[in-house]
Amino acid sequence: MSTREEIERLTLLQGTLDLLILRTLALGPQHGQGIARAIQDSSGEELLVEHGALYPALQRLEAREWISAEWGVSGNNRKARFYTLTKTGRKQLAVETSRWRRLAGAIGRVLGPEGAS
Amino acid sequence: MKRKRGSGDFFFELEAHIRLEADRYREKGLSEEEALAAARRGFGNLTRTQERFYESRRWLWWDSLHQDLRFAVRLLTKTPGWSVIAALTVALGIGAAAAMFSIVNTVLLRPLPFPHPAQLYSVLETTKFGEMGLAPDYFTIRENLSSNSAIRDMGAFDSSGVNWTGADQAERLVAGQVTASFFSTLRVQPVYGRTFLPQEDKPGADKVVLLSYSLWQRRFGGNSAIVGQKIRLDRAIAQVVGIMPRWFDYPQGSDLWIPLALDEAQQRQRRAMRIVDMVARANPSATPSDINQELNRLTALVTNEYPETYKRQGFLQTIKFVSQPLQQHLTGDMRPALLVFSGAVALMLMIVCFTVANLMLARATSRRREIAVRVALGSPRRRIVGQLLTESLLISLLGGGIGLGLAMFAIRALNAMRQTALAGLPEVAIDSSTAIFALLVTVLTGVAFGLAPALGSLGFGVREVLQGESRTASGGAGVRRARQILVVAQLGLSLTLAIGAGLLAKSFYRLRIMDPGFNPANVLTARINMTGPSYVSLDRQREFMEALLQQVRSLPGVESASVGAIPAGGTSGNRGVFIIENRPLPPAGQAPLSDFIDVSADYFRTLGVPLIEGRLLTPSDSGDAPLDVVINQAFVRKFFPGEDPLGHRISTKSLDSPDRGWAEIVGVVGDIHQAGLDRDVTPSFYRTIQQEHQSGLSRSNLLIRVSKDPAALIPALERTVAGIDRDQPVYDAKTLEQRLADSLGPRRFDAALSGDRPLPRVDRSLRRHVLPSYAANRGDRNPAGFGRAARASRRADFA
Repeated sequence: MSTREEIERLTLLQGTLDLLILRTLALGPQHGQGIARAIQDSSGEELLVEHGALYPALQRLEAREWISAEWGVSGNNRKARFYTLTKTGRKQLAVETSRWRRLAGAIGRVLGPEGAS
Repeated sequence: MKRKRGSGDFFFELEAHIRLEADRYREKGLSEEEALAAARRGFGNLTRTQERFYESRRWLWWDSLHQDLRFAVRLLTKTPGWSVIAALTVALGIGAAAAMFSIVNTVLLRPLPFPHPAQLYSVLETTKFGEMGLAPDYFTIRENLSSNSAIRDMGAFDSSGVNWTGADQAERLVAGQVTASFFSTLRVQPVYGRTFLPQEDKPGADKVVLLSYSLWQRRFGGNSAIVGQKIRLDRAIAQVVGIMPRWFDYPQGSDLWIPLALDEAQQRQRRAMRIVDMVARANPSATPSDINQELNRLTALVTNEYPETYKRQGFLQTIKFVSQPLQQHLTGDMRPALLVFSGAVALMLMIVCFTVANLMLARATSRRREIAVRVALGSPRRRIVGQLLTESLLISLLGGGIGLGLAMFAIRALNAMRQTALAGLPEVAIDSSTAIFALLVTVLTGVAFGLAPALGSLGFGVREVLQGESRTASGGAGVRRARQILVVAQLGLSLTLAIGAGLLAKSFYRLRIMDPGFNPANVLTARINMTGPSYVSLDRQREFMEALLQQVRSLPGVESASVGAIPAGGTSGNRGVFIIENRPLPPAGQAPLSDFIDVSADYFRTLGVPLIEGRLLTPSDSGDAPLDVVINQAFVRKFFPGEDPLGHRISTKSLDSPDRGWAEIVGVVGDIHQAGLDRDVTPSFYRTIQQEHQSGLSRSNLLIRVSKDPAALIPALERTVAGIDRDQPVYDAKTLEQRLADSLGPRRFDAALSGDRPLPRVDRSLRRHVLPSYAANRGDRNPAGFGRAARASRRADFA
């Protein structure tokens, strides 16, 4: 795996990963592993979250104060860092969601009905 | 802000993640070990994630800068010779740039110290002879200003000398003569007391005076009780009404200010008028074109008011008032020279960049192996360029620091010369803006000479270098090419500068080896200005001067003492028209011009001027004896080419005068560079002070030849003058050699403008010709009206 390819994939993921994290946290506080798991599960295992990319993304969102973090104890009694959506984060989620919908819709219209190409 | 999160905390989070994942795998039935391995696998590159966290938390560039700096310092100390040469080269460039900037900043950029300086304008008069720099219609102009006109207020001023007496020792001071409106126009308030009242600014009013801060400190001990006291100026009583602030120095060099007291009737008729400078304050909302319109209106008013005056003085019909922003007016003469010097400095800075870039390149070549190794080990190219830039910036900062020191040294030297060679240049200070400028230039320089070699250093194949395949002396083709370009550019620029400097040096050298026409060694010169009621008559002036010369001659070491013009730009004679006997009268306006200089009999012997033919003036040329004159060789060349001038008679009397006052040419003396070494010798004739006299002796120059050390004679001279009249100061005492050296100063400044005499001076010498006849009588103080013209031309000297 060359460095270049990795960087390309990461940049491709970046915007959407943020959105997915925010969406997951909208359901309630969660730790990193839980977030990754939840995304994978709810996407029907289609989306594989590279855990290495997850934590810098969390870091970034925390710096923007869209999410906040606190150490807590997980369901199976392990110490974990729990992330919560903040007020600005919730607003941002709405913004990002509608933007994504528009983008996806627009791209869908361009590509045409399934099986057209 | 929240506290920064440590990398330990982050590491724990990742560990927790792995454990949580492992828990999940265990639930699926994997063994402890397998679960952990799977969790790790699923996570990907743990170290890389930690690195990214580390990078996101820090100014990574600061880290690498720190590293680069340490490395650069190590490298520079390893080759101290190289480093010192590079840093000193940069220091020269930055030093010159910083010094130049502080001059330009002081002279051209920094606003004048008055409130709202952009509203201040200088008002001048132009005629077909060009700009006169005078505006005599003060009264007409001022009464036509209203509160809503483009020009709000106007003040007139001039500068002259006064004798301050009544203290232990009489002293000659520079007096700014100003109207009452002068201070309100500039909006300057005194620190103590008040400025002049309108009724004090009238002829015959009780005399009042404002002291400059420096005079107040120097002679009155900074005691504010002096306000309201009386002092003696030109033997008359004047009341001190105020002290001006320390920064206020306008007209430049004023020790004190006295009312201008223009005579309204004479001034309005343009008869016997004073030539004055005018400063105006514009309405805040007025644009330059509003001001010009206003001045056009005023020009029309002034011309219509006295049509006969304007008709009689033909050239006045072309009169027009114009304005110029005051700052530009005060510094306009220096602008071209400063710009030329700035250009030269910029050129020099470029040469410095090229030189150091070349040094860097030479070294970069020898470091290619090191760089190739770093590239091979995976160092990003950006980091390598950063490393090389750090090195060049370090050198330029080092050089910049030394350069700033050099600039301070240069500015100190310049300020020291200000009094003599660079009259008119305000005191130059290195301030924070200079420091900021220097820093900026330093960084730019560092990047400029560092970038090319840094980028060039990457232009080679890593593998070839490491395998030692291309160990040629000067490296890859790219580097070689860059060096070629640099060398060519460097040579071209250096040549340009060298030619400029060569021209400057040549014209300077020509002056140094020039024969001034006199022997400046062992001559002391000084001035005396006799004022007050006891010196109104010419006889009294002669009496004083004869007594003085006689006593000076008896001082130890004195070989001869005389009165006359001080050569080399010290003072000049009067210039005027004359006619030659038995020659057809020239058409009006084309009469020959000559300088006439009034001297005592010993003048030529004191200066060591050779007699070419005939005889010198003698003490017997006095009283009622027939008038005799001595002429110089330039006079012979101009008016008696191929003829024997001896025995011819000339006259300076006007054509309709019944007594022609013919004076016989009795001798020819060698040429003296009277106005300065860089000026041509003008036709001149010398008359003795014992005979007919036009301008009187009230302003006289002493020239004293001693056997050795002329400067040591100054105290004795002062005592002698005080012994004859203790209220009479003798001032501006200087050796002739000193004056000669000073006269070369302005030349250094303007020689850069062109290989030879700059244009503005031609215009100014025209002014010198025109002014005296134009301002036929400027008042009692200086009947001939030459002082002003001489001042104007002096002011032009720094152009």
